[in-house]
Amino acid sequence: MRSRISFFDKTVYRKDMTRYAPVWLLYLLCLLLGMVIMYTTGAAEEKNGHFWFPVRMGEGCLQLMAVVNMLYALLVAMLLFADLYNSRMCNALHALPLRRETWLMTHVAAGLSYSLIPTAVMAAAATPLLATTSVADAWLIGPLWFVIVNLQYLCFFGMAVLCAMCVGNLFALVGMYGVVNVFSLLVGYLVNQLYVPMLYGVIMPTRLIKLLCPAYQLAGGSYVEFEPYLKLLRQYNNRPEDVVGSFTLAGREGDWLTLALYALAGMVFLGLAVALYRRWRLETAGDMVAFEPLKPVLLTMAALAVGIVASFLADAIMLETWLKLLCLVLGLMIGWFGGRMLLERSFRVFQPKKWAGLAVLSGVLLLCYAGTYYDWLGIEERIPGNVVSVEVSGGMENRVFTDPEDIELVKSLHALALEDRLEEFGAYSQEYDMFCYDLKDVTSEEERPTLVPCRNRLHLWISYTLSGGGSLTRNYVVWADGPEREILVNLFSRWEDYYSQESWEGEALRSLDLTDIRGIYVTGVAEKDVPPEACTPEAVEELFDAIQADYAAGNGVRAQQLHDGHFTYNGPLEDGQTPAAAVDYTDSLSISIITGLKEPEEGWEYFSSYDSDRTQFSFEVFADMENTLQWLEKYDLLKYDVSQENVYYLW
Amino acid sequence: MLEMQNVNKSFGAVQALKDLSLRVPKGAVYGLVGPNGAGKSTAIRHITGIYRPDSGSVTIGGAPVYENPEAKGRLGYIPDEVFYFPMATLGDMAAFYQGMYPKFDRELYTKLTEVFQLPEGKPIRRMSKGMQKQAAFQLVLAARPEVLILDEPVDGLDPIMRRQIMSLVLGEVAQREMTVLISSHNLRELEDLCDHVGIMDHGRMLLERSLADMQGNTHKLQIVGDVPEGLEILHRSQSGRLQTLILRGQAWEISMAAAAAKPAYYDLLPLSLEEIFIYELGGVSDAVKNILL
Repeated sequence: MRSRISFFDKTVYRKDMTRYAPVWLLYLLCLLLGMVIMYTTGAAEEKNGHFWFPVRMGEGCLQLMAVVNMLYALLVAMLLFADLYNSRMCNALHALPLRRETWLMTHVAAGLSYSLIPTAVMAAAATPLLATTSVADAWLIGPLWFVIVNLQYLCFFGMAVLCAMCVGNLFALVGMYGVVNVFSLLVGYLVNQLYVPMLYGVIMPTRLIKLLCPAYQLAGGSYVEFEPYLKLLRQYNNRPEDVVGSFTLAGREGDWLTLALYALAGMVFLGLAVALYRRWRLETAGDMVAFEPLKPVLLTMAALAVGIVASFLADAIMLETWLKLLCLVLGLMIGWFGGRMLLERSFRVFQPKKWAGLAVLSGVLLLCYAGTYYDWLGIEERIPGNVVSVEVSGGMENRVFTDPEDIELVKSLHALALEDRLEEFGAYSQEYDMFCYDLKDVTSEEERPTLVPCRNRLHLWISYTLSGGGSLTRNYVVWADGPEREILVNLFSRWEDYYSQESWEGEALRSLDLTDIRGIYVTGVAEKDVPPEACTPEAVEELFDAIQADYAAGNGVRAQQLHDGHFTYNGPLEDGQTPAAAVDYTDSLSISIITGLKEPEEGWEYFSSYDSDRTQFSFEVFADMENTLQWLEKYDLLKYDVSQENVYYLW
Repeated sequence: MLEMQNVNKSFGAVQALKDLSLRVPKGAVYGLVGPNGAGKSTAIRHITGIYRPDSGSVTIGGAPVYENPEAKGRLGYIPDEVFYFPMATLGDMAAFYQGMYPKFDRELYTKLTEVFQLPEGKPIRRMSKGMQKQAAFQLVLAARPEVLILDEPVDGLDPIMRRQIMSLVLGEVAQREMTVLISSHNLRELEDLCDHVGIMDHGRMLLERSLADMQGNTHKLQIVGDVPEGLEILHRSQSGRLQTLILRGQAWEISMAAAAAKPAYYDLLPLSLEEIFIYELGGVSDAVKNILL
């Protein structure tokens, strides 16, 4: 009669917990030490209780713990499953009266305890400290930290256990876990370095690549949002009574979901590990791979990993593309045969039949290369049909369009951008830049190592969000003085869009308190202050009217490539100013408005001004913004000659 | 009690066990003999539930062993090279065994401590090979197994300790009808212990008999004169007029036949275990002969 299945054995669990107790106790000690550092660093400067402690616990520490968990999970798996890789130990353990499920799941329970116990102690120790800080309900961050850290750990531990079941020794476990963790980044790098540059304007979507690399994704995770920056600044201004922070669970969009998915994936990995372990052949203890069918998979991964590293090295020393390809193939060979040597524990791995897999792998990569070079899939020419929204960026402008008419405009711009491509210069935007550089007979005082766009060209980013949830992003250099300009002006010269944009810039603009004007500055080659008596709300409202009129006339765009003319300084030299600096061209002037702080929009000035009590906003003025130029002249602020002719130069 | 039926096992291209069958009755002491590489350890790893057979079955008391904790809980196993948790002491392992084996007898363990006199607090891996073997016996015997599997059990033990341990084992056999399977590449060291013997070579069972059957059924006849007819002769040799015959058959049958032939001289002698196997196995490989001599 068979015994019923049990998934836990207390004797094995107790042994696991006591056998490696020094490891998890040391981990606990490190956590507590880290907590003390987080609590005490800068505490003396905080006048009304600790504020930064919960911020550190809720933000930076959680991101750091993703990396810590990645390493710690591997260490724990190595400790707990090393017995499988020693033939004698493995036999002795499997002669014990235990089912395999029981043995594995008990080890998994112990492995999870290695994280749960130290982090629980850490959270328990931190919670009362958090409760004393100046952030409301900060004690909740303790349990929250515990949950998030252990969800992270579950993902990495699941992955480590699955790797442990696929291999037959510790060296292979470390290698496989390392490769699996960064494989998507390696492949992404390969695609980005070798394939994407051949596709004109194509930008590789990185979402999937990042998603397949939990360490990368989790190390950038944001789960709570603190809203205390301004209040904290006031604390430093001796207003400690205002210092009460708060936090919400509104982290970066999707990070909670991503964390949950990773934890779920960790559980799936554990399930797969159980299934594999049931079929684990004990005689493979000590081998590189525990399952025959995994050999080609691991060989391919090893070959690709070495090939990509070789390609990376070639790229680092700036070899040409064909040499990068050569390095890739050489790396593939090294990885392939090196992997074979490890798998077969022999140097005799060069028999003709063992080249077949390498030939297939190299062939697939080269086929992809040819397919990309000739764009067999028509990726370059694709303009999507089912667009929900599109974001367009270029020359200081960034807008999101959802109106179907606007989307159609962007598509026509996209089509023009494709027409602008010059085939004889290949698909490389940098070579295209070189062409334009020569074409326009540009002069500069010195050679610049980095090319910047000439005045008649604009770097453009178009990012579509598709109805199926996907995205498509393109990057082009378009002519800024052809039909493209008309579309760009149409899209960007809209005051309502500019005013209502959701960026920090829009927030700062809307938060200007026009009843409390502290100063107006005009900057360019020389700086001109508006006299204090002229810094009135009426003067600023006139300025706003003038700017809106320029927007309506199609001259509100902030991309200098979409404007005509330039300024030449004609005023007197100031003390210490050299003629070379004074007699110069400039495309735009800047008008900065300094106001007092508008209470409801607190926080934003932190990013735009160093002064916590004031806020500042700047407009760019170009030579064809007639209405704004009139405003400048009215207040005698224009010390430049205005010309409608374009000057091409590097800046 | 313990039975393997038509068990096959391959490791890659190598077939380690080929239709292997053996049967160990309850309370028997079974010697599994074979040269190096014969498949003894592989067979034992199937019996102890470590390996899963590719085909065939391994049962204890009718219950399959593989992945059956209840059946494995009735087994005690001492491998050829003892291996425990690296830093574990005898006391640690006793606590572990107590949790693992439901019948673990703490009182017996304490008694055995007096017999073996091993240090409780010293890591087992730091003990000598012989002491490690003793520790293994102390732990396994205290677990009160119904079936004891011993793979090369006396390697590293001095003759006195060897005798003492075997006397403990046989005591358990006598008191509790414990079944014992002992693997060895040397038949001589099993001769005094076993009541059943199986000989393996190249993954197959060449011969499996009870010792009593074999010793009662094979005899050495020295005779001067005519060889009696009707006897099954396994081997014949001659020195001068003296002929030495190895015969299969009951002693009384052979004696009667010899007397009826009226030779000048005859004598019926018992055979050693090695001699029986040599003559029984006749044409087997030199490797097998090496284990017998």
